[in-house]
Amino acid sequence: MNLQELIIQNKSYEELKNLALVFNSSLKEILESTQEIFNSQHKASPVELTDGRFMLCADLLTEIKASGLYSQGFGLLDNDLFAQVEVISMEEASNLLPVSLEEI
Amino acid sequence: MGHIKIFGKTKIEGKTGFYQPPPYDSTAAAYIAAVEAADGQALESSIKIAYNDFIVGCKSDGIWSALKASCILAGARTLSGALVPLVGTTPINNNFVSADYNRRTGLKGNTTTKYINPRRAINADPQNSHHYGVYVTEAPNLTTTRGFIGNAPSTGVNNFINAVTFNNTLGLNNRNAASNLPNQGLTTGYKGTTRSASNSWSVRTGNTNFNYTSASSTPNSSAFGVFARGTGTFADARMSFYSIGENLNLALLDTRVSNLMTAINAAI
Repeated sequence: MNLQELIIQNKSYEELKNLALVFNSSLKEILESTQEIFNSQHKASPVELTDGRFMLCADLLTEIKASGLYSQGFGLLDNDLFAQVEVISMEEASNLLPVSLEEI
Repeated sequence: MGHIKIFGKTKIEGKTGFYQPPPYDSTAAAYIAAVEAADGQALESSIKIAYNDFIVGCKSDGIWSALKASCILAGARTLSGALVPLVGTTPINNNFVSADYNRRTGLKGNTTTKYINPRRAINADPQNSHHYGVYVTEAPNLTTTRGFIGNAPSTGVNNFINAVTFNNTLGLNNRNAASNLPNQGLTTGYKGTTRSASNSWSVRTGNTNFNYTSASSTPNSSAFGVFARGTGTFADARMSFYSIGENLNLALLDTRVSNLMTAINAAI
């Protein structure tokens, strides 16, 4: 599934928080430059995965409609790019996160 | 003329039936106005009184001026309201959504992406006069290290509070001096650390102070994270307060924050 298909499904927060949006560095740069256009207090900040891709939690989609916390930036993104964003389970994405060392 | 608090309002004695808002402290009034503007709606009187009592209490305790970056992550009607700074610069919300926020219990993190950037550097406060702390209302899922606040830069001096799986330990670093408190990683309530001198620092957790004499190291300019250490090692805890600043009496702050959370819970 990709982001375009996920948006159409209109899933709930409880469902979305178990999904991850995964994309390449080019899309990450577009996301960051888009958010630099305005100075919002609320930022979609991707986390780098060990395979070089980047990830956001899909629950951000609960805030993309009018007056949503991330609606301003989302509205400026080119919708054609959404098909390039892969949707995977958060469990799968978590396995691709860098592992923190225990510090005792 | 005397004033009596009745259901969050003030009755002026001798004027039966006439009510007026309580006279809020000027700092509290400004904070309340900013929260209401961010919420787009007025707060209940009981919440405003809780905020006012907290600020007035901190001033009375002599700890208010030590707070340099802080948010009350409860009471406000919206996440935007909760992120109005009590003190300091407006923080940056990274990836939190409205559904993560609960007016009574605070903001819920996750283990993968969510953190607040309070926009305060680790070295913004003096090396030997600083504090940072959080109020935890729901413990993290402790399957690996979970950062509550601070930073652990790849090079440089550590300043953080986190929970680690080994013995459910609360692990702290204060200017590179370490403390490990078994069985405190999954407890709720106030958790903080303060340093009052080059070789004197304290931790507060579980309503208890732990005092240490280890020396400080010079911090760098790396940024604090909240619900994380910097921008990683995220915590899926729920938290309702954080503060960063100069040295202060942790027990007094703990009492004020605990009373604030009790008042907010009673008000909603």
